[in-house]
Amino acid sequence: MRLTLLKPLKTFYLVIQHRALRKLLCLAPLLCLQACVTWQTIGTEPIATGSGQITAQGPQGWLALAPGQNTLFISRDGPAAHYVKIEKKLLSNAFARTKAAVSNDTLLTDLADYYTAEIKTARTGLKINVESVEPLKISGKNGVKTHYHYANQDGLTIDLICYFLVYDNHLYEIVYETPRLHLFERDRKLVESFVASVRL
Amino acid sequence: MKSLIKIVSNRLRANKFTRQSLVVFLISSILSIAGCAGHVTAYNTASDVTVSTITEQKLWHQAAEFEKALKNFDQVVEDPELIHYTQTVMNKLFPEYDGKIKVRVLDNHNLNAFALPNGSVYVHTGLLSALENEAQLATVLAHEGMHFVYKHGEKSYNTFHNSAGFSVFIAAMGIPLLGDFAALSVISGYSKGFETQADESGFQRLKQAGYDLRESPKAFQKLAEEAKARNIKSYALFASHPKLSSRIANFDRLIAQAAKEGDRQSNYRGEAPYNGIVMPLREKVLNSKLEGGQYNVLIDVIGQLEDKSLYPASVYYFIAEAYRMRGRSEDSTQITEAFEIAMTQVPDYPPLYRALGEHHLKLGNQDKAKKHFQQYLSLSPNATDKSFIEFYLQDL
Repeated sequence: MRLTLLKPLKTFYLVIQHRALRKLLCLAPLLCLQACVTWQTIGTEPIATGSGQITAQGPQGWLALAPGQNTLFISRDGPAAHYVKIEKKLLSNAFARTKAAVSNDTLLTDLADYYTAEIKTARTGLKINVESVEPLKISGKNGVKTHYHYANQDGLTIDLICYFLVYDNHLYEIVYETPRLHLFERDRKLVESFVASVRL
Repeated sequence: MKSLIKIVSNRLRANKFTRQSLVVFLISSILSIAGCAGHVTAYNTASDVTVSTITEQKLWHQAAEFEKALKNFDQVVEDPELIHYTQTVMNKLFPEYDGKIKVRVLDNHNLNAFALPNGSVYVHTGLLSALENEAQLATVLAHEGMHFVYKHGEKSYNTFHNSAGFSVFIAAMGIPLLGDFAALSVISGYSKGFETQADESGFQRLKQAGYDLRESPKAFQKLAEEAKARNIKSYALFASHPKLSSRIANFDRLIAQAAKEGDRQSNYRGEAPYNGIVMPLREKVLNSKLEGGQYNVLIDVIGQLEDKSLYPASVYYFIAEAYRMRGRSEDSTQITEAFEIAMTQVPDYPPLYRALGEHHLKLGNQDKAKKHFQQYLSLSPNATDKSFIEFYLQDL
């Protein structure tokens, strides 16, 4: 019995001791994920989250990935360079860090403040600056568009534009994150068209 | 030791030493010698501050890389007056180090400070804002400076060796590199012995520099209050061992001991110079705490201060807005009262009118909401959320 318990512990200890194995351990879930779903080239057909509840018309030639029931990624040059993510989250999970009191009745400006607080708490090491906050319709519903930027560890300015709304006890968000250099202006209009095409 | 030699010689004489036990004995001896070779000597003066061992080279390089990243993150405060002042306090505490312990300030509203192995000591604006005087700042700087002098970083690194790596080492020093600060704060910091050593030696530095020793536990009290409001076990600053309450008690003991030994007590707190320098930071920190959703800290720590004169008058707006944003139904009376106080204290503060507009909009008082939103836009015509307020006004 003692050996049965000790052996996996010892193996785990050996794995975390070794740098390469540690990396592999971290990458394993991603590799599994990769095995389940693959990036698809976007054509003329609308793309959707796994559940099919959220649909949108993605930019043709870009790649799309729906890793879960409520998530959808699109990217042209790979998610490490830039990406747009659509996600539907339960309100109780969406503000887990700040435990903000968000409900279906929350004012949009307050929602914007709670959302910013959650972003800042989630990315503690970064200095997130708010550029603008404005109202916006998402799939015909009142929502918010916030534009943030921050400098990454190489000093590169990263733009983070978030479109979000609360509906039926869920937070619906579309996040566009990209380096300002070269990519932001290049894709801005395409992303705006993509956001306008989203149907909840 | 004598008895050990006796046992070994008896066994050798009696030929009772098996090959296995001899190997064990030899290996343990080699390991003890290796342990001695790895002994880390504390710095004594500025001339000692050199990079001599491979571990030191590695740590100094990693510290330099880390500092470069902090600069790139745009977190390092470039305020010459503030840097000069904090450096002067450090030099007063460590005169023999000739400025080799460098103070830097990070733009972060959390209460934190940390020392890197290369002698850079970072203090967060949040901590500077919470402290009340130079003597309290000196307590923090003396403590962090002692971690550098005693090379606690290198000693901890040797203990962790490569199993933990620099990331854990950094985290142990309380640096919220990336990710959740609160999560990092639970990571075990320096050993209890190192922390106590830094406390006690730092206390001696405070005494030598002529600061009012009674101020020293107050820096820890600030941390304890904020940790309680944020519902975290302890701040990573000064680590989680020993507990903050024990640290405060330890400082009280040191103060009592100093009094008993008849040390001449200084009354120097340095309130005026400290607050002259730090006051402009406080409004930024209040705003940062509000934007970061730290409503409980604003209400339960800053709101409970009997004397709020250390803060700008806008503190009353931040407390009122924190009550509103916290969104608890039982806070309704406090929200009204806090806004009334804020109206008397900062009647021309634009964000107050935005908050009042939102408050009344939520309550269904459309006329009042409209009046406050209009007032907000007239006071702040270029507000970043102007389009939102205009959007509200269209419906009112």
